[in-house]
Amino acid sequence: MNELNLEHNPTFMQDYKLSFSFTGKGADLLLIMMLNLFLSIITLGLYYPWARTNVRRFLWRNTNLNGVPFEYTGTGAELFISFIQVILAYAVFIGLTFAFKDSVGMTALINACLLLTIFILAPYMIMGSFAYKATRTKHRGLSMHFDRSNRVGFASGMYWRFIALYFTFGIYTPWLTNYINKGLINETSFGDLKFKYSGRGSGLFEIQLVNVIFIILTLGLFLPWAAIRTLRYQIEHSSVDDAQFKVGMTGMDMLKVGLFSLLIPITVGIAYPFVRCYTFRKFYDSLTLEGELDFTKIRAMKPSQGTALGEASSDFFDLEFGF
Amino acid sequence: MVSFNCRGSYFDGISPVEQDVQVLFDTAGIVISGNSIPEGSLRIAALDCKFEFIGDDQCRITYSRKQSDFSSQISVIENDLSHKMSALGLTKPPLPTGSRRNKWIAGLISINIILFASAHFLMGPIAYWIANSVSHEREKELFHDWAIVSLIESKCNSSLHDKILDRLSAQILGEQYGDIHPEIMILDWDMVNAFALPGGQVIITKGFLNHIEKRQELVGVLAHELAHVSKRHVLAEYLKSLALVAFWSVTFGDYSGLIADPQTLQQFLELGFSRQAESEADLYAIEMLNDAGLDSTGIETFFESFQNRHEKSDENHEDYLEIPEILSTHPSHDNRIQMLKAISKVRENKGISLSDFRRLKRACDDNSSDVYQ
Repeated sequence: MNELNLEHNPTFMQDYKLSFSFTGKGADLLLIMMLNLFLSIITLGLYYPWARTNVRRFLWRNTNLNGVPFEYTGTGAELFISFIQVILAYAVFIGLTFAFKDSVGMTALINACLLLTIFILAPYMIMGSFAYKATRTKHRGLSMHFDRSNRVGFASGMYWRFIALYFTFGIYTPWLTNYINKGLINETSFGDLKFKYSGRGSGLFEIQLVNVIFIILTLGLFLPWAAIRTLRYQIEHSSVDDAQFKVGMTGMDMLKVGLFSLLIPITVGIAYPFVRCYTFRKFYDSLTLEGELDFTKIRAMKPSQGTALGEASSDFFDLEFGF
Repeated sequence: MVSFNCRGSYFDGISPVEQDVQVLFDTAGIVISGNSIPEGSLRIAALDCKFEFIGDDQCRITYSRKQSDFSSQISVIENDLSHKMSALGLTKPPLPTGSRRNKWIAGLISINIILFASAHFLMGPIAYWIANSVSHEREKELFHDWAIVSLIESKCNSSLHDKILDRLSAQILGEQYGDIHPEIMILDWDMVNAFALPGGQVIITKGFLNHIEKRQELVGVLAHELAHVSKRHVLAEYLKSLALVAFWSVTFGDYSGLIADPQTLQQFLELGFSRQAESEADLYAIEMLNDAGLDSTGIETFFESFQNRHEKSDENHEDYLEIPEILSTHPSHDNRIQMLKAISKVRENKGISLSDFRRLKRACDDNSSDVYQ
């Protein structure tokens, strides 16, 4: 009693393998979603930020690392305030378009300004959204941390890559994906323990080139294997301290997920939470963190959560980048 | 039960290392004790704790430490913990599980379906009420440029054709003409079609003009589209679909996967409403033509000729499929023709001279040599 719990503390064990798991049940998620839907309808959509938060809380608390669940600390209220700010900012552009609707030149100029603003802010939205989710994630009572100090550098690097993407007709996508992965993961830490991404654009390109060839040769049957190959490359080039992430999910597992997803349209969406939980279970039950990870050395950093503006705007403009 | 004891895992919020503590739950809050607690034992009021259940048997308790930026956390696992804590008044009753949960889900699905159906059926009358309170002039101001910009390049009619069509629509609409003042455009499109747009604009295609053989067919179809404008169907349908799309998107937000394709479902649900509007436009078109003393057999004649064409295309095994009534925005042709025949009247006055009719039919081929008489 009153001692360190050795069973759950991988502190003193060398070459430890930490396993993730997902314990959420589809029926529980369906209940949450139906409650969310009911409250969204009767509030004419105002409940949406809280609904989004409720689902995240469920997903986080059912995701475990070595039997200890994660925690989502984001709130519906902070998301709601940020949504209002984003909608008001967007309303200014709409108002200006309406005010100058008789002038074709002005309307074109306002639309161009809107597109340019979205283009300039897109990297900040992507980073903000990732940072929001990271800083609202806790494990073992300890918050994750995201360092935003390099946001201007991240954004300027992304503008050039967007242009490269345009002129290479999308071939540059693996390098852009890799840049975003690096820019986001390398700034994330668990307490003061930094995550690291070591993937390379050329590595991801090779994977995707082989994927495209096999997808064509197999008339699309290779798609689940292609998806898992891309995912595996990105996950297995992510690490924390001396521990490396490993994923055991196979193409066959991905195919099962795809087939199971066919139930969604058949059941008019009722199967969606079951499919989501099944997918999470398949993924997290195969995810491990392998290597030495000394928890006793980790210390919390001063909380610096920031606002939910990046999260709300990336959701509004569909610019979310996976977490 | 006044209190209960159990073991828990303590996280201080500064290090991820887990330590064992003893937790006592009572009606006022919790008392934690152990070596890791600086004070040895600590009482925390229920109001200062944030409880989060992970299933029925596990609870995560978070509380802010005094003079610290960090909060501490205790994770407790105990059989039936959520009910025990609820019995002490520390937390609200947990979400139901097992068969009770399934009953809740079934109930909520039913309520949500009822709410959606109510919203759908209410939006129709509301859209019509708003549309009827907007003047035709205001509607024209709002939508005129919007429609013209996208179609102007395909427009065939010259001022000569405008005059012919203006005169014809004035005859059909009678006293309403001054209010509506429709703008009729002939478009250089091969498809056989005629439709009304917001802002009192009516479109007829070159394909339609090539297809019709009788003057009353043009007059009948034009009267049908003008009836849509007069009855505010176009604006009301536009407002309704706008409101429904907004309702679906806002309500579902992140949950787009919950419904396979909201837009398709919404369009499917809208069909009954559109068919009702189509029937109303048919009846009103005949009424306007009868009142104006014009031949009102044109709509049925047009549909008969259209149906013959489909049957021929079927015989020739051309790639054409009859659209089932439920999936069509129009009532089925047979039903429609029978209904129209019962009320239409053959009259000498066709509303347009043969020479003007031919001019319109040639509108997209050559309109420079015509001189209006």
